[in-house]
Amino acid sequence: MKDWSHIEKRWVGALFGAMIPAHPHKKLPSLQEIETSSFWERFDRVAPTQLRLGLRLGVWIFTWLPIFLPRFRRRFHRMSPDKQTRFLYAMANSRSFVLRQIASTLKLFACLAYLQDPNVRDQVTRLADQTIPSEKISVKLATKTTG
Amino acid sequence: MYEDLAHAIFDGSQLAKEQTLRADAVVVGSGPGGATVARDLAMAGLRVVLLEEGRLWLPQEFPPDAWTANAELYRNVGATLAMGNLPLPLVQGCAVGGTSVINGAISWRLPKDVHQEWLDDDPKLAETLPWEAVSQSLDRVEQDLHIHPTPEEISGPNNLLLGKGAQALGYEHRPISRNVRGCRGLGRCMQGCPEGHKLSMDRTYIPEALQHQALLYHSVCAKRILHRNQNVEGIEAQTKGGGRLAIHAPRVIIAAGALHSPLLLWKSGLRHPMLGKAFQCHPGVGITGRFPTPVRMWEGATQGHEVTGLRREGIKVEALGFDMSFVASRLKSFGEELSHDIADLVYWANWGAAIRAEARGSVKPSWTGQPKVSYSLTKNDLTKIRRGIRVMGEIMLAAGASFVYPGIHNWDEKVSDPKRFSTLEQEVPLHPKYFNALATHLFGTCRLHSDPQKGVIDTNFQTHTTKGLFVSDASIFPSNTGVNPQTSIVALAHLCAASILQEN
Ligand SMILES: Cc1cc2nc3c(=O)[nH]c(=O)nc-3n(C[C@H](O)[C@H](O)[C@H](O)COP(=O)(O)OP(=O)(O)OC[C@H]3O[C@@H](n4cnc5c(N)ncnc54)[C@H](O)[C@@H]3O)c2cc1C
Ligand code: SF4
Repeated sequence: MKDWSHIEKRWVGALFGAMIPAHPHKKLPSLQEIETSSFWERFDRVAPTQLRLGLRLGVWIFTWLPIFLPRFRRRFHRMSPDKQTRFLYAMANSRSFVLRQIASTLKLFACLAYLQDPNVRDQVTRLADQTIPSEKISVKLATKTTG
Repeated sequence: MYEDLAHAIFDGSQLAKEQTLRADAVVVGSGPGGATVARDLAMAGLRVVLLEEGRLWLPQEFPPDAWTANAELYRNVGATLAMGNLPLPLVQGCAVGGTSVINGAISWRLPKDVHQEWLDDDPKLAETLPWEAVSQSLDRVEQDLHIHPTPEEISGPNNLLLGKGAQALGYEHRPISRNVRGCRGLGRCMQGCPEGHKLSMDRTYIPEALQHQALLYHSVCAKRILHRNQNVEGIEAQTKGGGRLAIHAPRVIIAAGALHSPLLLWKSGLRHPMLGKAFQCHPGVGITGRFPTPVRMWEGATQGHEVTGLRREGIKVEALGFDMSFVASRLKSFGEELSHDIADLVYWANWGAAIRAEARGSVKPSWTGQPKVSYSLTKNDLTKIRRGIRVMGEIMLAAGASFVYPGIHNWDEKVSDPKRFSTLEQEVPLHPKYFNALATHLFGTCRLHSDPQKGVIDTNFQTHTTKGLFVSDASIFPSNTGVNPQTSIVALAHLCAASILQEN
């Protein structure tokens, strides 16, 4: 990300923030609230060129594409949270394989960045611990096995 | 484990000068294929140098989250793409121990029917690779790597639910046999076991090799095989610290994995009609489902239960305990709904199906010097993928899932009625881009065959073109196996070492 311009960083921030906003009942923070500099530092160090270029291109496409779509008519970061979410759903289910791939790649990186944060991981685990214990499952083994 | 072996370990990131070494054998790549040969040759008294591009990690250093693991322990962040009718990520490790460090520890014997297919294709294999020898070698691997079925106490719900659903529908299933000792079911195999319970190569054969005077150079990348007049002479390598290493040896064993072994031969000017040609893999597809009771997918043996009954159809279903981040990325939601789903991550389960695909592709160097992989799935492969998804969906619902995400484009996003799956095969076209897949088992690019027109290495694991140059990794497999390959790779590597020692 070190070679990304300030404005590109804002775009990716908007996209990631729209993918994972704060939990409506404040159970978890939004992706924009957490510190992702170590994530990007590592990305810069290890991501192969293709991936780096692909991700950047994806950010450009998802930032500008809504302007050309009658339902949206604005750049991504200028849309309301509701429209941003609708745009992301539309892309994830698009007829275009490329748009679907961009949506899933951006989402994958958003989730990786979000859940590399130890505090978020702790919070998810804590939420899990507050649930009822798991079902007790005992599996009867199949008698025949294929070697 | 490595405390007493410091004298045998050299960190390439600290080596900035030129250095020349002499050895009896140099092994490139420390995954299951390379580590095994290095260990056997060292134990037989040969002076062995083992080169590895990745670094040496200690269990306590392994990262808990998928991003850090993918960035530090996986090659290209796990994003090497095969290009064809469906771009397919090919996942490989890059560390001392190779992909064994980040694999699921699933241990399968090479099926006899697969071995028979190899013999049918090349009857001469029966002389050097008879079933008895392979089977004995597999026995030995099972013993050395403490391979045993996953006990129920450490399985965790993600595994047990697969067993429950398979049982309900009458599919043959069983706990997965794994190469672990004292596994506590921490569910982190794919980030490296933080307590060293997984008996990957860095915990087993590599330290054994070092105890027998082998030298390990890690963070060192082999650049060229030195050869003259069809005889091998050694390896030229580059260290991470900017130094250069020349190792002269009469035997060179290439074990850089199915993508990089052919590349190294290619870059060294060793041309061969089949080099990089018969690439095969097991494309894998996943399915995610939500249960009414907690699954805690990140707890329990990472991969502890499997459906075996469809193996002969070329489909293997496995429970697949991913890190939280991968689970989250597989959910279909965005925005507040995704935040909700992440808060409820405890309820989700994830399983995968590995397909024995018939497609063959090719690997050659791209303009960047990295492997360029061309590979397109066939209609038969897509039929198996589609069936794999159907079977997993049915099993998940039979196990009690409230609903599942089949992950197929332009078909039901969410399925809660098992009857829907009975029409999946009629409704979903065999269009590759309707599916999402990735591959972790790669084979065949330096294929073993007695006929130099059909294989790169002969039945003694030596290349047809160059004396003293051997290959020992997944690239030598005459075909894919339809089962998890590590145990077979190690078993064949033992036979490769035996063959080298016999020539000796
Ligand atoms: C996520 C994942 C899960 C898996 N789970 C299982 C499982 O549960 N069971 C199973 O049986 N199989 C599993 N596999 C597959 C299995 O781990 C591999 O098939 C096996 O490790 C391949 O062994 P190999 O020796 O051919 O290559 P690798 O293990 O890939 O080792 C090759 C090594 O060579 C090094 N190398 C490459 N080029 C150079 C160079 N030029 N110089 C120096 N070093 C170099 C690489 O860094 C690497 O460490 C899994 C794979 C993945 C990715
Ligand atoms: S499941 Fe956990 S304890 Fe067991 S081998 Fe894997 S990482 Fe180690």
